[in-house]
Amino acid sequence: MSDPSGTTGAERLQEFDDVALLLAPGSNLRPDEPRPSTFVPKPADAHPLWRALRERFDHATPCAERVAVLTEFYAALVANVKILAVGAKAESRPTVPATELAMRIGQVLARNQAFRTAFERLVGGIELHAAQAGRVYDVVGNVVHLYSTNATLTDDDVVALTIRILARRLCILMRRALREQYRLWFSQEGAVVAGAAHPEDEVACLAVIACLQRRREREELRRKHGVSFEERYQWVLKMLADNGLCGS
Amino acid sequence: MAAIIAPHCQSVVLCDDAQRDPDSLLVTLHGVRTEMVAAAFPYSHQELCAYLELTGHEGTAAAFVVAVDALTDVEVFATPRHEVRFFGPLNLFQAIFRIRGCRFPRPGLYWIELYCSEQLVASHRLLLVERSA
Repeated sequence: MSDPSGTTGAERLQEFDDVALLLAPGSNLRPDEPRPSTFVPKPADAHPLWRALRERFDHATPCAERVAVLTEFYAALVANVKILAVGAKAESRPTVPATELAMRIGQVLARNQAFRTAFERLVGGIELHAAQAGRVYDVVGNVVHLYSTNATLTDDDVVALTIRILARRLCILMRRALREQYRLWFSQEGAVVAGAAHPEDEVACLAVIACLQRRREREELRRKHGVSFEERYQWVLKMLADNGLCGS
Repeated sequence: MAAIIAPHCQSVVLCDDAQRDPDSLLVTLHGVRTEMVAAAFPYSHQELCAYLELTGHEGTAAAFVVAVDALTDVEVFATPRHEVRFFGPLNLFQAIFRIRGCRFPRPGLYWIELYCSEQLVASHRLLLVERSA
């Protein structure tokens, strides 16, 4: 069994048999995790949006208010995003290589200081890939993966794609912050936390619901997934506020 | 730009045993659990198995599992560091950690955490319950 990476199924599974190392009190194997503020450094010439975000972020109480700040910024990013309809009628359209896609994103960044600043702060690198059905981009950790695509992309599409990449990256960071918050919260309450959110969720609030394991809220959010972002966003803020995670 | 790229954990399952069929490569999990019942504490569990599915950028990372008492945030036991190899963000990597002699000092909530290259990439709850036989 092999795949495009040239690896076999056997190579992709490793087993480790260990005797537990019993740790003395005060041991500290775990590294200190970077605080959320580390991903928003303060550039001297930052766009006002970023300056405002950073200022509020720095003065927020970890981490509930930080989540609220990020949620708000996410809303600002996504508010005018067009949904990219790519992949349809792919055969009849010319191919846009991933290299060209990266170049056009670079042009968008060059024209827009806010985007450029955001991109430089949030994205660690770009990897280019051959076409894969249904994929235009992925965000894994802080790396953006661009795929060659059989779709015609207008300049507006590329701008929208750039925003969506930033929003996706921000969601990843938000999920991390949310996870920490909920972990702390639930530990204090002695309650139970379920698994992490789905990695492809674009709506960070789904992470909250997944963590909460509240079926009713999850279903309600899913129902709302197709409605306007503003409505969804207000609902999320209310839910965060209801749970004491940000100011109402 | 930042250079730290954490692997992404697709799933974590705690169980009593995980066996892989060498022919079909199917993995069978036995005794999937989110809680343990013990008559007395400290409690030593013979073997805990953590099955993980991860994706990450091509390269290697030092991985280890650590159990943390959720109430006190104190680490109670861990595995040695192992080198794991990732083949790219689109290729799933599976890992089975078998940990023998897991000692839990008291009942309550514990976190079983996976670290790769000094970064937390997965966390799973495990509830230890005290109940007389």
